Amino acid sequence: MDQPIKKPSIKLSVYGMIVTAVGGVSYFLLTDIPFIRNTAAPNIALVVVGMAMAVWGVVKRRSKGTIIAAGVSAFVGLGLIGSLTILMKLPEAEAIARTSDLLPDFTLPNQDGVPVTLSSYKGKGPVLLVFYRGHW
Amino acid sequence: MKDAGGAVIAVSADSTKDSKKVVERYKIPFDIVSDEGAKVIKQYGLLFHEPMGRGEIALPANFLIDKNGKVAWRYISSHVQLRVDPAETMAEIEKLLK
Repeated sequence: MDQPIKKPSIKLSVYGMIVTAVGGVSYFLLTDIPFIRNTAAPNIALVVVGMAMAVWGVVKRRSKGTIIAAGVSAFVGLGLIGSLTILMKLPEAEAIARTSDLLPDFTLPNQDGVPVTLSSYKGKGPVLLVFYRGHW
Repeated sequence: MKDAGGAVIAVSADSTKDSKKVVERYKIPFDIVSDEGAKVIKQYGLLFHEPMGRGEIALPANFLIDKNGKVAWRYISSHVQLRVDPAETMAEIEKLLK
C-alpha cells in the first residue's frame, strides 16, 4: 500500500508572515521609545527573519497558502523598510544645526511686533537661542 | 546675559499675539520671537515629523552663541518631549561668560 507522500506544511510561511507582521506593526506602536524610533533594530530584525521564514516555506512547499503568506510577508516587510528609509532620512538642514559653527541668521517679530535680528548681537554679546514648542 | 551685552531669544511658531500672552503671563524678561510658518525652525533642521502622522513639531533646542556669532554650545533634543536641562544651560552660559 502506498503511503501518501507527506507534504511539508505551510506553517513555516505562515509563522514567517506573523513574525514579519509583528515586526512591522510593533514599530508604529512603540515609536515613543527612542531606541525603537531611532534605530528600529528589533523591528528590522523581526521583519527580515519573518520574510526569510516565509520564503523558505515557499521553497519547501509551493502552494497557494505559502505563496500568499510569503506575499503578505514581503508586502509588510518591504513596507516597513521603505517607511523607515523615508522616515529616518535626515534632511540636510538638520546637519547644519547639529554641526555648523555658524547658524542661519534671521529676523523675526517679537511679542510686540518689533523685529529681532540674530546677527545684531554679533560683536556685542552672547545669545542664548531657545527653540521651544509653544502651543503649536 | 543682558549685562554681557547679549540676549536670550526664544523662538516658537506661535503668533506674536500668543507670544505676548506668554510674556505677560509669566513676566518673561526676554524676547519671544514668532516663527510663524516655522520657516526658521525648518532652516535650523528642527522640524520633526511625527511618524504617526500627528503633524510637524519643533524639537526643543538651545544654542549658545558667543560674541563672535559662533556656536559655543548646543543641545538638540532627540524627542519632542525631552526638554533641555535648565541647569546644564546655565552652566554653559556661566562658562562662556567667565
